[in-house]
Amino acid sequence: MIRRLLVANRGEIAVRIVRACREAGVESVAVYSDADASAPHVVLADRAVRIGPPPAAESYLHIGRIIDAARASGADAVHPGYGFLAENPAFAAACADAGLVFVGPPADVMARLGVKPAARRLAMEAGVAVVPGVEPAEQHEAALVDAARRLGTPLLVKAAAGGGGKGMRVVRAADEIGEAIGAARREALAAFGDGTLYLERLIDRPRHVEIQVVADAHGHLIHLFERECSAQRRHQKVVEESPSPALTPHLRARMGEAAVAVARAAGYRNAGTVEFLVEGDGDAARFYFLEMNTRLQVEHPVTEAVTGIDLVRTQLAVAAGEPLPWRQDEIGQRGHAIECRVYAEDPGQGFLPQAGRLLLYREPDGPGIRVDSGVVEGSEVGVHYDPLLAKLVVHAETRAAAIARARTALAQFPILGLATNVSFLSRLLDHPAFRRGTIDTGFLERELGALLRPPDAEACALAAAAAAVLAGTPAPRVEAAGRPAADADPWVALRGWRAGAQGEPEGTSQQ
Amino acid sequence: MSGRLVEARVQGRVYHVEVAPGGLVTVRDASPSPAAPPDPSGRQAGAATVHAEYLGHGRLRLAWNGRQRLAWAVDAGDLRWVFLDGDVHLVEVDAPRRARMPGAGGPGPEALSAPMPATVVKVLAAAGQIVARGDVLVLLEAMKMELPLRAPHDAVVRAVRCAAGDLVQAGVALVELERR
Repeated sequence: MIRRLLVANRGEIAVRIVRACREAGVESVAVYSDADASAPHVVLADRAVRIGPPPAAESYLHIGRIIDAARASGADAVHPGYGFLAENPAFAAACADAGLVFVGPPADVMARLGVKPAARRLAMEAGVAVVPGVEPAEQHEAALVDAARRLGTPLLVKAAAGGGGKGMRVVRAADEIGEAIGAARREALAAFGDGTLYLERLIDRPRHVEIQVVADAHGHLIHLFERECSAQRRHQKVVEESPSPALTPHLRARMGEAAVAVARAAGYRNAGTVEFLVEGDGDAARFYFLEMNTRLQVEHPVTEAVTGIDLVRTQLAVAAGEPLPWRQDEIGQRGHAIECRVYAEDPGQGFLPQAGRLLLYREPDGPGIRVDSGVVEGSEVGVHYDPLLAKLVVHAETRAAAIARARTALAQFPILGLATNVSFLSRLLDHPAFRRGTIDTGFLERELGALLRPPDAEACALAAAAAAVLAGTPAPRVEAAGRPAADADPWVALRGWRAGAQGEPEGTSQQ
Repeated sequence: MSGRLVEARVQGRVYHVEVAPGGLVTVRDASPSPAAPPDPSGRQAGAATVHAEYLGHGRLRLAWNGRQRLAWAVDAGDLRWVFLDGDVHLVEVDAPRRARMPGAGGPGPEALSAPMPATVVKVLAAAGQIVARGDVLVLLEAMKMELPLRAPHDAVVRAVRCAAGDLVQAGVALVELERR
């Protein structure tokens, strides 16, 4: 029984978790850095605790301060969200040591799956194919070069302690091996403090397909089908969908079984995702285990939409010791869901992250439209954190209908004050290859030029007209820094208010 | 209020826009080398007629040739941001207005800054240079659009704090001016 949960995160996922707590009758505690003092997740939670200045290392990544915040607020559980400390075994262990229920897998399971070569070995032991590769015990350059030559090009040099595309280098010809190893090692050391490398064969035009799994504390483990995540740029996902247009029912069933086998072999608990690379088409397509993510993922709403299952609520229930209420054969996919990640970045300037004020920000709505966000009109977007502004998730009866729904919703999602990738997302959804469902993980980089097409002359003339008319009206002007726009949602401004709640007034303690 | 004529610059194009009372707007492409814009109204060669109505709350209704669209816009001083059909436009509108810089109205240093994160394409001014109102001092690029930073009034350039190729954040002083 969880009574009070501390959300060790920020932005849209913190809002998501706070909402799930409210629905489950669990009190929520938000933590915030000085940059987020008035952020939506802070304002929505029942309590809020300041944990430090803006830099993540001194706030959202600071294990000590977060544990202290849990103690100070009387929390009995912690949800780490995604990113930050979500896959940090030391944090999971620290929570356990402090007597806090950690909403996620046990620390030792997390640790094992976090070292990529160890996770690969575990998958192989579970009878699941992995991307052909080699994990040289000898890590000096000559040994790695030799191993690479034997594996054959094209190949990938990868960091054992890595993730998120860092510490990776593509090698297409044998004479590139030495340089790639040096560069990957330097990057791995800088990003993860560990220069251990391994090698994988580079799959030609792969698809990234992942399987959602969830396990309770009673040995029951199921999968919730797949998410197709091949629309990526520099290993950052941009659009995700479910079902994957590439999977046949037979392939889907085999991948689901494989994901469950890996999770079971790891002794997994709570929600996680098994990532695969898929090569080829149809029933004969080959899939290879890539890695397992021991956390809730950004794109979880896509699975929620097609399965009808609330993943965060399920996470809380599992953490509280409840058994999963479904058998595998009781879960299905219905309709089609697509998620578009809206980032504060300028695709025309090399995806430069943006900092600035959201002068105007209006989320679309309508049947089958869901927006998860951590910002409102007037929010200051800073440089300290990930530039994800919002996730637009649409659900419709067919893939074509979902694409049309997402396209329409994007056209009704005005965000002004800084550059975003909204028009880039629209072009992506319009692209014939996306509409056919044939994109692979290299697609976005190859098609970047086509996706950056500027608006046509008619649109420009209309924009000129709109701007000219605005000049003569009492239109909204830039508000003083820090003040929300006059039309901001008043419910967001009601800090920690709950109808009929007993007892203690909401507290905001300072640390 | 009688009709207003303004010049609007967007996506590298220049338009002469006439706003008549009642919201009837005529837009003529006056770009130095225009591709002939599609003429939705079919009325005047090289011109478009749009009915534009501000609905409040940042919303505008645009109607032309029997169609209509909702657009959103904010006035950020030197630039207007417009959202239409999933695209964002940054529009410079020349209308007679008071100088908006801090310290406006008297001699003293003022600063020009980028309206959003941008790349410096070209620096066209140097310290000590005398500039006239409207002169482009720094050319920036963002959202695949050129954003000229213009002298808001006649001035002397006190300092230039950027160079071609720099990535600059919004609000950081790039050029310091002293009003003449």
